[in-house]
Amino acid sequence: MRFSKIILAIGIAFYGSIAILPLLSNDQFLLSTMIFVLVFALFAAAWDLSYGVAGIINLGPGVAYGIGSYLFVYFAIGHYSPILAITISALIASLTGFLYWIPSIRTSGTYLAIVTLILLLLAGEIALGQTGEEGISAGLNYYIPSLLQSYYASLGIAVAASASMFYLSYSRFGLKLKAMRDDEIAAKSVGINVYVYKLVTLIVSSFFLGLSGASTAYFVEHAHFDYGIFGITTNFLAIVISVIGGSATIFGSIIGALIVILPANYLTSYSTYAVIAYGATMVIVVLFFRSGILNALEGILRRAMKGKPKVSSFVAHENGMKGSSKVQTSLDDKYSEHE
Amino acid sequence: MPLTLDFLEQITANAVLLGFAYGMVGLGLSLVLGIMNVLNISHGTMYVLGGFLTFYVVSQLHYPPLVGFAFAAGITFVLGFVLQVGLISRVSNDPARVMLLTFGVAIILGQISLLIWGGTAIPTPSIVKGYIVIGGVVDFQTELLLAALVGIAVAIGTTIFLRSTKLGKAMRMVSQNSEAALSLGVNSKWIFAVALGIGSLYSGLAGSLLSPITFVYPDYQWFPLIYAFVVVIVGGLGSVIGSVVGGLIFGILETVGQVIFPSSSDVLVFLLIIVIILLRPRGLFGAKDRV
Repeated sequence: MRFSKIILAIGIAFYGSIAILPLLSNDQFLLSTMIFVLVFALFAAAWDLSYGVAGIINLGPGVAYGIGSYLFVYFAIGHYSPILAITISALIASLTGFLYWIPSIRTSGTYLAIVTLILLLLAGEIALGQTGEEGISAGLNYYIPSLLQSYYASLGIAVAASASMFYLSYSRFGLKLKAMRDDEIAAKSVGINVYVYKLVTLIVSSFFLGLSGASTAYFVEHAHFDYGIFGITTNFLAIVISVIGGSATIFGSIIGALIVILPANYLTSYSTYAVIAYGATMVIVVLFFRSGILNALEGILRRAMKGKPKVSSFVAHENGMKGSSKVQTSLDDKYSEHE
Repeated sequence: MPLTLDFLEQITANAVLLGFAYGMVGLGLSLVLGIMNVLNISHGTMYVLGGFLTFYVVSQLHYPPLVGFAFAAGITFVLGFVLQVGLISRVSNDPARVMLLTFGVAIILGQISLLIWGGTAIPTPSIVKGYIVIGGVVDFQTELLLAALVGIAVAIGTTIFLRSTKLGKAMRMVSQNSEAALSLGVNSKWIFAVALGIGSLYSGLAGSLLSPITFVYPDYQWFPLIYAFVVVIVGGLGSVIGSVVGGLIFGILETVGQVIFPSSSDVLVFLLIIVIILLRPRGLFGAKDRV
């Protein structure tokens, strides 16, 4: 398996610095914000697997996320052990993949985006009907971890999940997904069963979405669930983080999460301005960085180290009609295979 | 609620009026989607902005309602035009990036209106008050009637515009083959900008007319987007008649939904739209690439 060592190195650097942060700082607010950053990095990475790697535009990742969150609290009320509850919730949430997959058989692009967005709105309505405005809570008799335990547990989950998704996206499976993303008809013609690959991708993605939802319910919300978790803003936060961080990089999501969530949590009295700022960041990233910060960073580092000519933008121009950003990423992948 | 004949007539009337009004929102999205083949996620934001701008001009600055409508329509047209020229035209070869970009714009505009007008549903004043009773049974809410009449006028106007004016013909030409249009001296750049401007204007005008009935608040923006998409899916892409029919079907569903599930009237509409997309991905009356 060949993969981009630069992306992996940057990912390790970021997660490594987060791992040693509690040794340097005892700031409770910073640490609890970082837990938030970590669960959202996982949320965004799981979305990146379906959009960035496989090219399936799922605008409703919040469905699987919310289901994972709801199930965790449900199991917590039933006094399952936290590890078991998180695992089962994520496993059941992975079935949401079918829900995303069914419309993806018939439609793609814009239409799929809208169907998945409608799924999210439906899920929100149903959750509101089921649990009411206040939501449900496991209460005080459930084991709530200390701040440091939460910190390292969410870090562990985020690292393990990101590493497995990173592995997946550069494995033979991931290469097929990228082929499918870049040209579905060509992928079909070389014998890739796109329906099966989409289904597997969406189920794996939903598993990690559910995992991030369950982690949020446990480490951030302290075993509490309300319908707000299906909110469109939360849902789109993952998309924003992933796009800003870098499409198809998986590890880009931690950079995106730091950029989006860290300032927003510190500027709570200016939170509206913070949201405007991340909307603007998203516009700027889509306009100028094409496929996100980590991809841009990787390109710069690669040129700096190897002095490679800037071929990709030329080819991207040639293939402009097909979506230049994706052509560029797949070219970058090709380079790393020749290294 | 007793299902009397009066009641049936009343909800039918409401459904039809709401349908004509929502047909306008759908027509805006349909124009953009049909001509440019990109989805403008900030379409619903224009609706919300239309409502807010009318509120601002009429309730806070005390201008007559007509000025409010014109102001809302003008500002949303300019916003759409600038959005296309400044941002979308740079990435319009990739629909996914257009979606992400307009999503970013929707966030920014939504938050700006949150800053100015706050997050709660604003008490948009009734601009034209009262009811008109026809035939002794059916009460037409005047605001809804006005919105429906504007919706009908917009549909007729758009048909004439697309068929008879030079700009309208150029728009259809660009939607069919933008390179051939370019070779005949039609610059798609400005055509697209006008199309997005008009699309946003329809949405903004509908928001301006309907906000006393439906309320607007910044997070409401996703609903008009979905409603418009429902209209487009049901009626078919890029057809004016289709948008009107789609709007009527949507109006009926929404009203019936309110009677059957009073707390969550959207569930019925949402479920139906998913089924339609699965069975007929291009819409019920959808003819591909027709404007």
